[in-house]
Amino acid sequence: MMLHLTPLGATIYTALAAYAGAFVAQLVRRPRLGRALLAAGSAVALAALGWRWVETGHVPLQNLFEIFLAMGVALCPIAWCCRRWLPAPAEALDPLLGLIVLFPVGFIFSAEPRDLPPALQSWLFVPHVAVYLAAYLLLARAALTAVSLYWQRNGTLPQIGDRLGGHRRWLQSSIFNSSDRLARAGFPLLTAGLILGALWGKLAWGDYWHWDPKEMWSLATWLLYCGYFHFRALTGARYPRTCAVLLVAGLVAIILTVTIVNIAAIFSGMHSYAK
Amino acid sequence: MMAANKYQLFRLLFQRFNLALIFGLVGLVVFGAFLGAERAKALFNSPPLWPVWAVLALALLAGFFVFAAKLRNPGLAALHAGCLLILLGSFWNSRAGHALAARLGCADKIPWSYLVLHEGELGNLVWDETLAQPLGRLGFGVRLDKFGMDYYPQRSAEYEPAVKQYRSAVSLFNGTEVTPAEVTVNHPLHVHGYHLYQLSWGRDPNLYSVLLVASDSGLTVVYAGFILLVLGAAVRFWRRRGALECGGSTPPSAGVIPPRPDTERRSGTSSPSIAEGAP
Repeated sequence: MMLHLTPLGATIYTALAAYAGAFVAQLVRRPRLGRALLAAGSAVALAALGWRWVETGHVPLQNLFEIFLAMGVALCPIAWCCRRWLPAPAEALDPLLGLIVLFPVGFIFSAEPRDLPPALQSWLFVPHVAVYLAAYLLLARAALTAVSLYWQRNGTLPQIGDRLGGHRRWLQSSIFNSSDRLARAGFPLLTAGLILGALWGKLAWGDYWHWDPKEMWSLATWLLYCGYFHFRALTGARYPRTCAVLLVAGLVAIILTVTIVNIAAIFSGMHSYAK
Repeated sequence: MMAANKYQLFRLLFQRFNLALIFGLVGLVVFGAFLGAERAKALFNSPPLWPVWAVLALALLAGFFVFAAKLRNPGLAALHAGCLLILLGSFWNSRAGHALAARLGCADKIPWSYLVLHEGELGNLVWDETLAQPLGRLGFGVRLDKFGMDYYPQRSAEYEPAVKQYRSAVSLFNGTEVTPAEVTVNHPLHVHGYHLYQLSWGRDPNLYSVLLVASDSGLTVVYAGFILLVLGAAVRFWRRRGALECGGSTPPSAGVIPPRPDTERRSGTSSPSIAEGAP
């Protein structure tokens, strides 16, 4: 646990406060206020990211601190796109995701700026990380949405039911479908991230696959979502609970890919520089 | 009629088998993640796992025949064809693939080796990863003209400035032809079926550069697979409503959002989509 007592830290804590406010606003059924606070939080986080860019002198997507901060920014535009093109109910989940993503930036990850080692200076650096970042946000939202199907039964997220008219079965299937839609939106990005990483590996290290722990976890994640889509193709909408479990398993695999691999010594490999 | 039923059963079993295969692979890959890169590479390239890759490739191929109608969807077809091409290209690019190509009388190439050159030295003898065992000679010569490093401006007095780039200026000797070129990190050089990479450097006491020499066999196939996979995923999953829904064994209505509650209540029918599994 650490506090960043810098101007950068202050902007991050402001963004966190805005996301907390947005979450509460959504819970007490003030969706417009919630959206406004979400946008404000994202804008503040964008300012922090811009600050960081100037400070380090490279696109701030190198370590966990920078990547999670960028996720905290990208969250709001992605939430807007989801509202626009997908049915993405349970809007309280957007600021919740923002809180989950920005909390470690504010309190856990080290903010020490570092130069890019030669291998990271590639035109594939930004697309590889950015695409993964968007994929992870969408897939995390998919898992949270799928889980909210079971939460809302206990009334934890009451606004969903009220806003959509309250007919439980219609509501549940709409949430169930939207979790599937979100997974479908995220999967091509996950695929692109994996492939861009492979291309980059070929350019920088001579091979497109290095059996590195982080690569293996990301492949396991990709295969899990493959399994999810095959399962859905096989069973349709008959087993929403299993689908939710698979989406949550995918999210767990994502979290392991992103964090544990960088933190745990047993997984040290070529991606360790991203600490 | 009987035959049709048996075929249906076969399709169902094949689908289940594919699902089991995918989740089995998840387990295998996670296991590989715990091994660390070197041991994982050894395991996944070892002969006991060849049947797994063969079964995977065959399942992907068989899918095109068993689910011919479904795989007429261009996105889905490209996705699966991409996976298949990546598997085939990877095999071609592997040590086993190179050994097979040599035995069949195709190009006898060294799949993966290292070239150690001092400044001013011309050589084509390549070594294994320990740099102790010679593996053979390349069909062209490489001379290291100069090795150098670029640095970042120093961040603080206590740290050495970080290295920004490693550069090997080389000349390529092919017959009577001499071509100057440069190898830097992230910018490999492509020569006569090989890629040369800036890998490492040292001083003994003279400055030398270590170049990685990787064969490009099968790489085009792998890249074609990459393109198909990414495009296929985008087409399959990002097309508008209808294409977004999963087809297959469920009636089309099951994947789609049921009508709004008011209309549903009026008609009095219950949506089949979620009732059984819902809490």
